[in-house]
Amino acid sequence: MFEAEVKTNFEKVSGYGVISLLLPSIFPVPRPGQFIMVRLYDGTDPLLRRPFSICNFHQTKENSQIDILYRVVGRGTEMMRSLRRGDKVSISRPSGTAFNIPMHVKRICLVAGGVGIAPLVYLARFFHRHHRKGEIFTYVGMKTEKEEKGLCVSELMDISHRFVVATEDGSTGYVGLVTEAFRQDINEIINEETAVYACGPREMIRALASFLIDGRVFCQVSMEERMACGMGACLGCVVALKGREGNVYYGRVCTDGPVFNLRHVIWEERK
Amino acid sequence: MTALPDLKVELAGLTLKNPVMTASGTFGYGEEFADYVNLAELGAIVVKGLSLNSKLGNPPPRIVETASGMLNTIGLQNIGVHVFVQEKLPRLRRFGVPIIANVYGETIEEYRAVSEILTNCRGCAALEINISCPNVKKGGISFGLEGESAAEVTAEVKKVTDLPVIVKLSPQARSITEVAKSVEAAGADAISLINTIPGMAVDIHTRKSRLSQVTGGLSGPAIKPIALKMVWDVIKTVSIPVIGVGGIMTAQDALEYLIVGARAIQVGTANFIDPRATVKIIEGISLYLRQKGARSVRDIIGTFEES
Repeated sequence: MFEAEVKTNFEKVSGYGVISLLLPSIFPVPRPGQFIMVRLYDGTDPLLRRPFSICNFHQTKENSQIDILYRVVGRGTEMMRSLRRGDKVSISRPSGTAFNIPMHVKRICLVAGGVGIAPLVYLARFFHRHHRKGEIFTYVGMKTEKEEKGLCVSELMDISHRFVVATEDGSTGYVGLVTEAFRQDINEIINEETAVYACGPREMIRALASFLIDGRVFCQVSMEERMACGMGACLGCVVALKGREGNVYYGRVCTDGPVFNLRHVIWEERK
Repeated sequence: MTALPDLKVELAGLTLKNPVMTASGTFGYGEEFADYVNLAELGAIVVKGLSLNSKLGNPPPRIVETASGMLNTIGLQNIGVHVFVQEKLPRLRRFGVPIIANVYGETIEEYRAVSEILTNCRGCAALEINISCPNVKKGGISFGLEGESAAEVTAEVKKVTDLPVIVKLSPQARSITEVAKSVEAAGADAISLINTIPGMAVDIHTRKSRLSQVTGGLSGPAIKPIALKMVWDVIKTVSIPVIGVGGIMTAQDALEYLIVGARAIQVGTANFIDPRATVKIIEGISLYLRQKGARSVRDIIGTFEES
């Protein structure tokens, strides 16, 4: 575990914030898609650490910095919003699986739902740095236009060849779900050199699975589940997956994921 | 400089380096924590419950946080005793820490079969018999509600093993002291308690449970006063050693259990928040003993003064 110091904590629009944490330079460099477990408070309520995707990471000689994009949804994130410069939090090392960019891929499509954009921002920066000639097609879904500012999309916009915002209320961009906006374009933008990466609500990823036919398109998704330990011990954060022999098993989002191949995920009915 | 206090405890024929164990289901198969903890420093590791064949476990969502606690309904997802013995145990043994296997069965025959395999493989220091899991449809808790069925499981397991048998009790038992007496009479070498307490949490927007199985087992600091009282009640009832489990986050929590007479304690939910919780608790117990001028942890165990 590492002690991190809050450098800045901005609330961009109501309910959306970006917190920058300073870490010792020995902090391992995260790979895009990995997450950290954050403990905001030494007491027992809230009790558990909270998992957050890594939205950005920089290193200098003296220290490292992690940026987390968050939406205030409960007591943990409420507490995160109240953190100020100089406050200390405890964070785990980067955990879980990372997005994989196959060698032959020259174009990546990012499909984000709300704060699900966070790990895709880090992935896009990584891709942009290592594949100068590569192309990024970005689709971001949100309920309404106001959220756009909160989701720190500006840098992603600058490095994207195509940047589509979809709003459910139609206040800006494509009117409707982000998966529909993306679906309209797939015949045009997907070829053998394309990979798709998605992160967002379960229903968004499920919709993506319904039209990205098994195996034809390389697609990885970052899944979310409530998590206790974040290190593979509690078996709390599982998703149903297809095994090698066609069997069903529960894989841990924290250590077998959070990044999974879309074709491995099973969409069982939830009560 | 004074010598460090002696933390050794004897428990059902085992000598433990200290009274701090991990609670089943909260420490994986041990390896997951090896980067954070020198496992050899622990009193013992109790591994995730093992059934004869692997178990899928319950669908998600399996956990939800509540005030100072968490509910879980994992449903005993595990790799099965054979894979444990072949793949996990050899690696775990290299760490040089006593390994206590937690045994689960849907039937008495399954408890016997799993216990026999774990005994014959010669890698375990003891068996902990789980008659208290609240999250499976068959077995588990159904044997732990009454003294008679608890005693039957205990006696049958005793027939197939020469390892110390620890029976893990449920707070749902009609009378936990009656169950304790029954398993002692049936040959249990020690008792651990408590398993989680059934609870629920409701999503007020969907008006559904926040867990897939409607109810789950509550653990964490919220249950400690309840667990401590039950441990104390059982200690007064039986003469075999008792292991205290429930909401232990700090050395102070652990010491409360030791003072009321627990021979050892298990740390559960705390491992999720701080993977080094066990070693911090060991250090804290040692510091307390030094402050009190006690040379051994045995000088503290069972020193509770009722009035």
